[in-house]
Amino acid sequence: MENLYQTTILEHGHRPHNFGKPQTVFISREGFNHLCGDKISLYSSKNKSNLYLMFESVGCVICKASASLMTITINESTIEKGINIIDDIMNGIKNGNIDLEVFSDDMSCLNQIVNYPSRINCALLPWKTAKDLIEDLKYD
Amino acid sequence: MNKKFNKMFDVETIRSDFPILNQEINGSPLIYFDNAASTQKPKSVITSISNYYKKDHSNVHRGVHSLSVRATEAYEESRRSIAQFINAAHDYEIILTKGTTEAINLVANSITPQINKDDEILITTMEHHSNIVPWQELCIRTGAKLKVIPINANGEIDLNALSELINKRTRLVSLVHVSNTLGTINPVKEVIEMAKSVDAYTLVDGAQAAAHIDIDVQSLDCDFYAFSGHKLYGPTGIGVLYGKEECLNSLTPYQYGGEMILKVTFEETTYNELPHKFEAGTPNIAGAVGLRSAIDYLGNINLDMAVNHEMALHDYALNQLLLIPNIEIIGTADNKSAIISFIIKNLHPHDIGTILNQKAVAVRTGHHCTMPLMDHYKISGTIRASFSFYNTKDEVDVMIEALDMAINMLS
Repeated sequence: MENLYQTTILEHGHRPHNFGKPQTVFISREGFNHLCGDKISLYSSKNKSNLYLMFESVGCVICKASASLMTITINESTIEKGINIIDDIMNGIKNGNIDLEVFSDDMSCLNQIVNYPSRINCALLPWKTAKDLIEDLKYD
Repeated sequence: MNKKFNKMFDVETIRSDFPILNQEINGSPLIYFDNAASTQKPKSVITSISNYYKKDHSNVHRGVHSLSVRATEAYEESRRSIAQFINAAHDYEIILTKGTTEAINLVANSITPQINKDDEILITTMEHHSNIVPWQELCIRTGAKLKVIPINANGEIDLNALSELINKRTRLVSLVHVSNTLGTINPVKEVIEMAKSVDAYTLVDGAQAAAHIDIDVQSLDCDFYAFSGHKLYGPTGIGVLYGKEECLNSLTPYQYGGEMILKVTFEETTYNELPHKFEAGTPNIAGAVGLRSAIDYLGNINLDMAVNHEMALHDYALNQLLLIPNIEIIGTADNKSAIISFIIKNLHPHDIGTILNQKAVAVRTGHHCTMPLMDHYKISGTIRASFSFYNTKDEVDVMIEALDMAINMLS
């Protein structure tokens, strides 16, 4: 259990980075987990330049922490690179094998989610929503 | 109001009837407090299904060979047993379905030709999605309006508001007998009387009630009553729609095919009589056998004492929970079943539920298929502990300890 609710998850869950709504919202997207009712709102204050995402959420600790780590990981990336990162991380969450030689050690906490199958969707929700938002940005 | 535990009620003997309870989860003995989602099955139910397949299985009705006769007898005996269980006037008023959801869908579909654009359908704020969506769809098909009976802060139907909502345009009132989220036991008899005063049909969703309340459909005077086998210690995939003879006869068939016909030519089809008119295709015979066995099981224990035990667990757990800082109980009706929904400020139900599971405590977390009710309370979900007669006071203590641990871990 400590493997799931470890320090990194709790820190990011309780004090998430990039939490809130930016003053200027260029585009936003809502994600919804119909199984549990969790919601996340993702905001981009920029258009087609490098990504800068913020979020608001009424989700669980896992969802919030995952969203916080996501913003840290993809912000400042280009749209194309952001999509690649999201695909890698979503696969990594599902299989418990996020490559820690490529991504920050903090991401190791998301490798534990695979041991809690009922919580995988909580961790994936921010990444899925970000992918939808970035696709919108791409074709805007 | 605190119910006392009755020492005459032998929980350990009851528990020995339920083999699934005798296991460990994550190294601790399983504590199953998710009975509102589905109850566990006694050995007698499991054996009855196994024996049916080992000795009696064939397709039902029309067969002249011995196995078909035996399967038909077993299936129809189940119907008789269900009719007695809810005091239906006739066996043929019992339609066997997949479950409560299909039972409600059956009525909502088959009543379509009787509903017009000026009609109104009434439900309550606390309905399960299965008693909302079929009526929404009926309204889309017909142009009728769906109206919602409000509830008060305790989670009780506002009968004054109902008396204002109900009128000569009301064609059907459908409400839950016991709320799966709040535990509220609704005054269905009063609601049915009010509906009858305007000649509206009445449907009661009894999914959560059948295992805990004596159901007497003639006394309730409802037109339809729906419930599921799996919440009644029986198998999944079998459920019941009770309908008064004249009400069932007024409906068009739900599905078409074998069993539900008397005569078929390429030009036209004559439908079968009740109950077969509503049971197209080969039914869930083993499910019916298992459901009958579950009803027999409930008949063999002292159900009054069993329900008293459940409510003693509820009251004991509630008193312990109220000692936890920042807890809020969702659903505080005067008349309740053994279900407690709660939230803890700033902590998410899913996180609590995951940590409780680590201590082998199975509770349900989330919206419990009652999203509009969650919106009413302005929350995304709750933690729900729902008790059965096979649960114990010691198990409640473990849940409270696990909750303390979860709160410490997450705070």
